[in-house]
Amino acid sequence: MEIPRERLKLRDDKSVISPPSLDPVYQCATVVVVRGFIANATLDVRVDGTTVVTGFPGGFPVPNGAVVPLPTALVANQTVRARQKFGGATSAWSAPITVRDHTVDYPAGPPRPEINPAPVYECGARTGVANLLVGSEVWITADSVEVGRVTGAAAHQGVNVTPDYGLGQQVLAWSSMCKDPSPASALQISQPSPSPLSTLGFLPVYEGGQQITITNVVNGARITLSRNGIVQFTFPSWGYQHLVGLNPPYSQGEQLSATQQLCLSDPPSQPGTTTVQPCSALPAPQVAPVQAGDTSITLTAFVSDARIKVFVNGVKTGDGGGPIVQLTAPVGDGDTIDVLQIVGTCVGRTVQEVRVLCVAPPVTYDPSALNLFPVGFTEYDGGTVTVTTGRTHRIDGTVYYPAEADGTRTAFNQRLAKLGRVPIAILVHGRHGGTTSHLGYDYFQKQLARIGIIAASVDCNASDQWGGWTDNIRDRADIVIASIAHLKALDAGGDAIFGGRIDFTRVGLMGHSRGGEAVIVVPEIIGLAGVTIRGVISLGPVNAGASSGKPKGYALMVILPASDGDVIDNNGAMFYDAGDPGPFKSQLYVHHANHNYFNREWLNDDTGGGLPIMARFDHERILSTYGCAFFRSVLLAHSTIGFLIGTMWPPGVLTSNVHLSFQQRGAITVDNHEDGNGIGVNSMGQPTTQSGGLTAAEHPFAQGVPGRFNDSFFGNTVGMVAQSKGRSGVFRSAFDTARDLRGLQLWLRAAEVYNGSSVPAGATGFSVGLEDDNGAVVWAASDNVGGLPRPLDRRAYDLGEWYATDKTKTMLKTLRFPAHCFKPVRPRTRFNLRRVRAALLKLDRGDRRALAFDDLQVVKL
Amino acid sequence: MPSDAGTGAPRPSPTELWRLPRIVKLSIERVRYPRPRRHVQAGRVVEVPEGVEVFVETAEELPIRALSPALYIGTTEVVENERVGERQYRFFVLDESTLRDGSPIALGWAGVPGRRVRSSFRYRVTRDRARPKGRQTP
Repeated sequence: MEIPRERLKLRDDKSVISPPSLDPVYQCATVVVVRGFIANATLDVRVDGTTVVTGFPGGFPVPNGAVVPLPTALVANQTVRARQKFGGATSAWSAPITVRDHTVDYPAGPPRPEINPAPVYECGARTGVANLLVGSEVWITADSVEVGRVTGAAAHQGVNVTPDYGLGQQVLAWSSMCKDPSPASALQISQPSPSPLSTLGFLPVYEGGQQITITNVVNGARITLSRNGIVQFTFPSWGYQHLVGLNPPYSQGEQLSATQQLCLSDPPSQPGTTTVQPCSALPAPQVAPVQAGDTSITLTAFVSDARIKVFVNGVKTGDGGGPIVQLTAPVGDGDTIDVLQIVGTCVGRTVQEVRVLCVAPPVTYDPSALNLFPVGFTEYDGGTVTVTTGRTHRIDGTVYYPAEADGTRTAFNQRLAKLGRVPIAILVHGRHGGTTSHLGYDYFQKQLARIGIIAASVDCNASDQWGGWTDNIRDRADIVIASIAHLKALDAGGDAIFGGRIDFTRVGLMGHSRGGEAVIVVPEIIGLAGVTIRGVISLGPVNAGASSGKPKGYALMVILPASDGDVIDNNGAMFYDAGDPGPFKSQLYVHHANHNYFNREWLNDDTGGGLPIMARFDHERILSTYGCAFFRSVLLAHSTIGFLIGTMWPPGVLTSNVHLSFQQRGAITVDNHEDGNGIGVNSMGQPTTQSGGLTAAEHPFAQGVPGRFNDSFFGNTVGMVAQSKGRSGVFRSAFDTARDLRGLQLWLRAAEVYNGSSVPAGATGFSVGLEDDNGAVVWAASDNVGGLPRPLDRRAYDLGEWYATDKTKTMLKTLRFPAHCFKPVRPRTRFNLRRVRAALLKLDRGDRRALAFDDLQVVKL
Repeated sequence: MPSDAGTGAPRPSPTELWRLPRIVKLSIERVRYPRPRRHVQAGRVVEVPEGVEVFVETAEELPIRALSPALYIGTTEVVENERVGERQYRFFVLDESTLRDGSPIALGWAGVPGRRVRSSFRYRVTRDRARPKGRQTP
């Protein structure tokens, strides 16, 4: 919420400025990258307690931080810190970071450089290279001739190119760290210069500023910048956006203009212009949600050279530069944060005010973006297999794998192979007709391969024509197993690419639609020696009854498109509900996702335009990010499980549409309602009580089962539905013993129940309470941990379809209540978190809506 | 500068996923298999030495999609099927016990019992290839 600054009593302690932050650093680096400082601050750097750099002029913190040269190369296990000085104030030293050995983090060599942005153009004079280790060496070749080099690179480094690119040149980026070379980047062919060149744009410029952002830049173009009609300078740019400093600071009404040019033989672009706006127009910055315990705030929109001041409950706690401002102390649940931006002498008239939530996961990194290896491609043909129904089917498919170079049947990556066998993911499509469904997950296969996971997609297209239902699922499972057997034979038989390369003790499966049920069947029937399935992704599956219906023995992820126009019952919810959480199970219920858009060969929207659907790209982002997080966790033991739990979010994903459920082995179950002991006794064998006008009962959360609450439940479990006449209805569930919940979390699946006729306006919620053995009670609201999920209303669409039945669902998600979220009603109430004897649910909204609950657990994260 | 003109792209046609054609021909026979047919029920493979097959010819091809078409005989859903030719399908009855002679036959979708495309055909095994002649079902 943006509010006038004058309305607040903000205490601006000029001695308080934030410590900056440091990018990860590696041995051999002779630079560090410092971020988050105030524009034009000076920077000091300390290595192992010795200050080695003093008074380095930081310049602007955005976009790439300050690349600070060091007197000597860093050595593994050294610690590095930085601080800033500005306006007579000196920050504390930043938290120390430890210099890492890249051969530990990247044993198969440094990550693969990425020419970014791409493509490059004829006459281009500068190229951006990303995915670099800080301090590495980066160089560019055009037709095998080096045309530019930078020593001591930032993570995303611009490299000036001399001579300019010619047309049709083969451009590659390379890097090395400690003389250890990375693979070459993907090949770029220099393209003809665009004609005419686009007119440059500017982000808003405010009085007092010194840095401007020029947009619409063509890769490699030279930009000529003028101020009030007077040319200031010309510089090359890697494209897209370019930030440039100007001195002295500009004043209101000044005119800035810029043109861009590639080949000197071609005319420059039309000039783009902007006028410096008055200070009064400077808005407040935009701030990402803040979570209790955070030690920094993240800005989502701000002026690039602005000084950012952060006040927590009116007290200055941060003062730095965007996009991440470190705080001098962690924030607490319920704190009020005011964020102000200052450009030169211009102080914003408004501040952005946010309240700290107990659970507001940070947006971190893209788990699908790990890019280590070139990607090879091949097809396999293993003859035919006779499936359960007696028919024969060809054993074939595609494989993407970590390679020495991009291309068809290129050699397997030698450095990765030397480290041992490589895990494999097997993908299987659903029944869509045609001959190309298995090609539709190529984007996901390539991502897995560049991470270091072999990814095969099985061709079951011929079986689409057979018809069948349960039998067809089984047949698909047979075809998948035959493919695994064939790949196993390639591995054992000395195949030129896969001989001795595949680790069949680390197998993952991903199936879509009918394939989504087939991958539940495969682990139950596979009899191949030496094959261990570690994880299964079941995407929009049917449930024809081809499996036991109870996934077990592997990590499970179920993805349910809420706007599925084909598998309208989201049958995969049954697999999640009945699945064993060993080692874990997860579910993504994705609003505004349809059935088809996860497969690039399935072109039509299965809802026929009847429901609002995310773009195809956004569907793919969900499978890419969450799927890679899943397979990285279960096949490579990477620490990506937080994306599935919901402790962090991937960038560039419509996460507001993704509703996560998660359960892991080892949690203490208070009540899962599966015990058949009635609503009066929980899974701990302890009594429950209902009071304050609340009524609750256990119901099957399933279709067509006697005793169900209504027809909006599509899973395969028993849960509880509660309603309350007023705001004080409480359900109490006693623990078996007084439990110490310090550092633990209370997890609970919950949802607003769809009433079968309409989705009322406005969200509802509830509170969770803890009661200690003295009877003291503390509470936490569902709104403070992400909120209660609402039904996705598809009634009108469903009633207009052939089946004419409302498929709007009550679909529960897991809400996490960390113990520190709970607060007493009266501030002075003493609560003993070491001896908690009951959990409480309070329906305190007074709207009489029914809420569904299941799987109340105490969890250690 | 000349201006372009035109109309918006047509709205995608309503989904054809659920379109079910008329049944134009239907016959029912009991068959003994040279080798038992293998089907999957409740996650297990069962071998069926003989069974009732319903041959269906439809006015159009059945859509190929995730869900399966189903034949409803009375209230019993018969799902397992195979495509045997152009617009021709064979449905396999895996449990005869719930079927009654004279029950109406309709076409629908597996797991979507609410609506069906009714036909004029009724359930009656008209040919018995599982037993010697003279023991034909009347």
